[in-house]
Amino acid sequence: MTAGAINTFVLLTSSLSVVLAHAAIEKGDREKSFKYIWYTIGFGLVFLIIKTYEYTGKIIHGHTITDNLFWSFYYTMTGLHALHVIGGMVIMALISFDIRKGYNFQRVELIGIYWHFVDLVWIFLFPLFYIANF
Amino acid sequence: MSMRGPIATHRSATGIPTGRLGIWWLLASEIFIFGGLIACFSFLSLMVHRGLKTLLSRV
Repeated sequence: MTAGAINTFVLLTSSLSVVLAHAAIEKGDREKSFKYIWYTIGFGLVFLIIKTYEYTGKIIHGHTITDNLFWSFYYTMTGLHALHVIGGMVIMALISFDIRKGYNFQRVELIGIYWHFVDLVWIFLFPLFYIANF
Repeated sequence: MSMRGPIATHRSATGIPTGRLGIWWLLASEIFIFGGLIACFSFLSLMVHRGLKTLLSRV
């Protein structure tokens, strides 16, 4: 529960930094946008580290993907979500170097939309798997 | 905004920039994936609570 709550905070903060990256590129400030994109990647990395810690604890306590219905969905959905976080981080890294060189600025907005979606998915997963706990 | 890059990034056949339309199209498919999983989980959890587990164990 605590790890999930921290991760919610981390992801919401990462959404803020991607908005700041978009705001910076709208003003033509490439360096600032580059910096905020890398902050977002950093927050994504923190999210994944906490997720790994959480998975480890659960597996040690014997809760694996084959345990029961709850754990099957827990690992499938949070794992799929984590893959989306990794994908977003890789694409953001590629975009950051593009904008530093001075082209494809519109992609900051597009990756921002994607990142907000990933955040939104977590907002559904958190109450479903950490609060309701069927 | 830079106008360099692939033609799809600055051409719009629908009134919406093609890149933005593409990302919304991707997100629509993602909504089906995650929405489907959430719906399945909620439905199966409710069924288990209503005794499907007992019913299946008799089969």
